[in-house]
Amino acid sequence: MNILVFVKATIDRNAPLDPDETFPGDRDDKSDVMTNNYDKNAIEAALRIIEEKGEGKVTAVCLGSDMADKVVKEAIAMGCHEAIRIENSKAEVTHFYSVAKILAAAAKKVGEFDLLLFGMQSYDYGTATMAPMVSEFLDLPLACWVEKIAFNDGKVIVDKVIEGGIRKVEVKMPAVLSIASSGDFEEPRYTSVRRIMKASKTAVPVWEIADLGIEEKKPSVEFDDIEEPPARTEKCVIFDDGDASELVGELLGALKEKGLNIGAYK
Amino acid sequence: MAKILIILENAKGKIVGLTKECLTVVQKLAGELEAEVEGVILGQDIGSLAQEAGTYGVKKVYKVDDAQFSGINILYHTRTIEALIKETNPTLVIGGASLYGQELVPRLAARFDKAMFASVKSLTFDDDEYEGIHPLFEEKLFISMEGSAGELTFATILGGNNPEAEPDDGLSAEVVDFSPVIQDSDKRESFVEETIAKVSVDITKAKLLVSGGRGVGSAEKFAVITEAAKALGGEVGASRAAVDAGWVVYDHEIGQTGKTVTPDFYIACGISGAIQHLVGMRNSKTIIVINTDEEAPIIEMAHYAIIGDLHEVLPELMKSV
Repeated sequence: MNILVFVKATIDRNAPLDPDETFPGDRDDKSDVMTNNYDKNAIEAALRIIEEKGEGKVTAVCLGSDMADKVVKEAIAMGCHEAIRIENSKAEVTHFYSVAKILAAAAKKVGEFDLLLFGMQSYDYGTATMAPMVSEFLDLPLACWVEKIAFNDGKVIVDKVIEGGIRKVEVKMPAVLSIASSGDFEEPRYTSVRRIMKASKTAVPVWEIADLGIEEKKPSVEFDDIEEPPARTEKCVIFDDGDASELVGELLGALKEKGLNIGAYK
Repeated sequence: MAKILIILENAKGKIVGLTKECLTVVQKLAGELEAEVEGVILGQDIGSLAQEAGTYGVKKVYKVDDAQFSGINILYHTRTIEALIKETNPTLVIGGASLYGQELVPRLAARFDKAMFASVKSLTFDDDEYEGIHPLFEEKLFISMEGSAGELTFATILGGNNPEAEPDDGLSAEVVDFSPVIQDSDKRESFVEETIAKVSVDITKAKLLVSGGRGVGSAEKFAVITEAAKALGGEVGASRAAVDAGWVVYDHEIGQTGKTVTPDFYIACGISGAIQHLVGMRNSKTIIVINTDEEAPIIEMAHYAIIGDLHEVLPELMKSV
């Protein structure tokens, strides 16, 4: 069983956000960069499959600049056997349509695989387009929002999240799956400093986009200005001093002052 | 004449709410583009839903009513809508950014080698271009997307950003049967079965919601949420964590995989505020948080927060109101 799991470097949740620096390649400080948290669910799924099968290989694939090195190393430290980084030095390719073409071409170059796994979306741009677009560019079957995986005779049977329930579908391998952040793979394994140290000694091949033989095409829908949402005029009023009855008293007083009647529906 | 094709998502014998939100966006765009609105609906025994779509201003509905569509096979949907697009040449194909739409529409776009307006909260037309607004970093930033209205365009609309369209009984649609298009290679994906919770309570109309999350602690302890909702004259809400834990049934779930609500008062108890929950309640008029963790992300969008144990605070609140 050969699995490719695609991992993305994003701006860290705790780093300051800057509309002019939304990609890791825009930053100078490595601590501003993290592994897209949803991709860890995909890594967890890949590792569990291999552990349960008792054979196989997981290769992490990452499109990014050298700022993404720590993401690649984290994937290895979690347990991925190999990794490939596709050089994207100046964050030049960022549009999901173009990225999907690159990742599809990279999978083709790897050649042998049974499953391509993605996180269900990214923390930064969050379009959730990667798994469906890559599946189409490679003409492979797809299942998104996967919570549970079983195998049967060259097929993968998955439970996928739907509004209000679960749908079971069967797809023939090789296939593309996007892994949900709920269900069997909700808690990705932790790694340790020791494992990260060890992973940092693993050689990771770096591929060039130019070698992947992709026909360049401008996306039909392009990104433009980034804006911050209008600042909230009022901050949250916090009551944290006193016992429950004092806190409730303060809340009700504050509501009353604003003319808000929480008792209107009794 | 320009044509807009809307994908009429249906579940449990109904056109889903998000599709009605999309219809609001579509009606406005149709006016600006002077476009005709057409729809496609896929499923089994969906004749009445096809008719219903007409009351929302859809002029022509292509109905794919077939036993092979009784369970959703997204690849069958993709192939059949692809064939319909090739035959009818719409200029804009639009669907909800539901779990279904987010899987289906990017596949369609890729088949026509197009990028798309992916998960936008608005889509407008101006000066021969479409503009869409897409949230970044869990809605901490927003980016605009632009594309020429002169070529085939695909879009998905995020829920909770547009009101549902109102039906007009004076309007009706021409319903046209469209045959399923399924190739042998499409059988690489197959529907096995699905389980969907029965919904018996509608919390979307409630003026006040008391909502519980993981922090409530257990099924027994969840009773305090129910009691408080009853005492205050509201309904019970819940985060996905509380539903998955089996403390409360799915009818009450709020967020990405549940309902979108906008009550006068939203009282969030023991809910830390994952983005998947926040998208379902952020437009509530007054948001009150009860949580032991003063760092809980939900506090950022709340109006008032009590830092304390909900099992002590809620009984006091019931007593005092």
